[in-house]
Amino acid sequence: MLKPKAMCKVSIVGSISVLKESITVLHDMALLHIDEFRGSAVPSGDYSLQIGAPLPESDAISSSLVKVRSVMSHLPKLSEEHLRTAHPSGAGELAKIDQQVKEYTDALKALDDEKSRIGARFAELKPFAASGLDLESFGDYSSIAVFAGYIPGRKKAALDQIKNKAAAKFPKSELFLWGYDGKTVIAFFVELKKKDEAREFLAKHGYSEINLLPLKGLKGHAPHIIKSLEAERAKLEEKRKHLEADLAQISKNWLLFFKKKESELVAESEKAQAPLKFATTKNAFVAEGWIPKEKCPEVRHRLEQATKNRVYLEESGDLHDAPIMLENPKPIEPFEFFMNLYALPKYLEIDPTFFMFLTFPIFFGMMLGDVGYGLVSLFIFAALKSRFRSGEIKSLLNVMTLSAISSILFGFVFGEFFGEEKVAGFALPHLINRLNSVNEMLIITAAMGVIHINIGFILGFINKLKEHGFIHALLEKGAWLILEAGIVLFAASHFNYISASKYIGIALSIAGIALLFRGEGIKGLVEIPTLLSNSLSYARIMAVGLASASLAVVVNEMSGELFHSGGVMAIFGVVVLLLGHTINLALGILGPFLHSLRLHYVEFFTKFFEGGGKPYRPFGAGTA
Amino acid sequence: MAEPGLVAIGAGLAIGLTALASGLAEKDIGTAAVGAMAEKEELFGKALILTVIPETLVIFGLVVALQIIALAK
Repeated sequence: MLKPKAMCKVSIVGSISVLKESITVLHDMALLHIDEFRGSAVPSGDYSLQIGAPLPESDAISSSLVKVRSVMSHLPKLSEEHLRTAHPSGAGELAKIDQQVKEYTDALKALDDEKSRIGARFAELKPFAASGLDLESFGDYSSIAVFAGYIPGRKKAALDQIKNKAAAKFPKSELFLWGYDGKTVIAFFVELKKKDEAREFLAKHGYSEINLLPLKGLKGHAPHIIKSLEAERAKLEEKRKHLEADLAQISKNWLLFFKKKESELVAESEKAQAPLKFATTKNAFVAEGWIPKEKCPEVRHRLEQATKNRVYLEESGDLHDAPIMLENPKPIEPFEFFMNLYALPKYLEIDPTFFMFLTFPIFFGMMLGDVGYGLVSLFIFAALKSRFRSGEIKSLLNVMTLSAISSILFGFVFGEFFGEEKVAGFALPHLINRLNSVNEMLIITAAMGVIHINIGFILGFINKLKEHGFIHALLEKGAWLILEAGIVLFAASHFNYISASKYIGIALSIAGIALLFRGEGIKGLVEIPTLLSNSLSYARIMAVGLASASLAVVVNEMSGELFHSGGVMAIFGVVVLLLGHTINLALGILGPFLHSLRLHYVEFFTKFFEGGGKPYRPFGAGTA
Repeated sequence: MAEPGLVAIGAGLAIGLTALASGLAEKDIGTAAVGAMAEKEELFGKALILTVIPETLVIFGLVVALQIIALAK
């Protein structure tokens, strides 16, 4: 809490002969966050540091990985409960499976090729299906030219006209017309010597030719051929089904094994590639990185054990850019979500997760602040929670559950139940009524803002103190606190709340401003008015809450009027009531969430938080 | 005692104009923020903050409006 997990910076130095053993230990423990070595400026030689070369087995592992992944890509995906774990009796069996899968996929591919060939044939034959002509008649003739193609228009009169014209112009010819797919197909047989004239004649009628080459050598009527092709296709389909079933069987037996194998190989290849992040000389290697402090002795012990003391682990002190692993007690942990969303703190900075845990639900609850809405949203979030086991959504839902509970509590403070102040005739007791005491709410929220911002300044002071010492902390953050104290003193004495000279307050304020100018220059002075604007910004807690409460009241009044009119109007009343409250609840969750978040990110964090820490990603954790 | 009608108009202007101002400012920032996020999704946190910064304007408007209404009482 308040601090990221303590890390220590380590240099692991060892003989190159135990490189592999060391990597295996580090990978298995999954604790070392490696700082990549990026080469050195020293000229190369046997004793200068260079980027390491991958372990010799790296290539073999990579190619096995490619093979396993290729087999897996051909195996159909099955749901987990169908999978059985098979254990290969040896490399021979694996090779056999590999071969089998390849054969099946090849056979499937051949089938698909055949199917698409038949599909193409269909497309060629279909225009002639309604012709009533033997396909043989579209073959080659020694004295006749054949034309086949589409012409526009389907009207019988127009087509007859073409037919008559053709008969008149080419006495020794025959013309057939039939419909296909909303178009008209024309077949025209004419003496060979009139070929060019015929083409001209057809072109005049918008003729576009069909390629007759694929029909060469075919005999019989098109519908017959199509039928036999369809039978052939059905057979292929049947065959395909069998092949797929067989392949599914293989998948059932082997997919899980291959999945395991894949993750093993990924781990192996990570290990084999690890030296690329190390510095090496001819005889030694150096790995630098970070380990959680409490695990340091254990890592050292295991390394020394595995390499018979031929590896040396050294801890060094500088922790400025240590990787960040947030560490918070279980109830606070979900709020780390907001830090991941924004930025991780730097190692020496205070981790603000705890403060978000304290104030986020309060701000949210004050804005939604309704027993009814709180209960409904609590129910919704609890129901959603059971559907997500882990991950960011789960964290978010945990946060929202807490916020919903806080809304219920504030609902009792404000005495609101779906906007009503009375439930079944009982007036809800309340501490303050949001709708009537707007000014009091304004003062309360602004005061909360002042407190929240000052917590921020104090945290900022501590951060600066740790990082740069007292003087910096005083100039950059302490100055604000002094200035504020001065303003308060001045105001208190001016309005005679305390019996002190108001010049003390003025002097203190001037001192604060001077320190600020010394610390941050003009920029600091320009920012002084933000003291007012930031505190007033917390008035949004009152504003958003007021809007949400008023909307609920409006919905209730509208539906109440409809109920009183009775009859059909009462049904409308129910619709207005349900729809209105649903929309208001949706707005009432979204709005307070964003505004509460904003108050933290913009008003609170800017007082102390810099961020920019890199996340802790230990070597080997991804595949464990 | 101020004229209630004028007070209401004043309060309406205070919140309406500041709401317009917030909207105009957020429009530009939001456009740029969405563009930046399309390039780099980690910017969400910063984008959200930058987008909602002008929202303070309308809060000031509301506070002023409430103070104006108090005049009528």
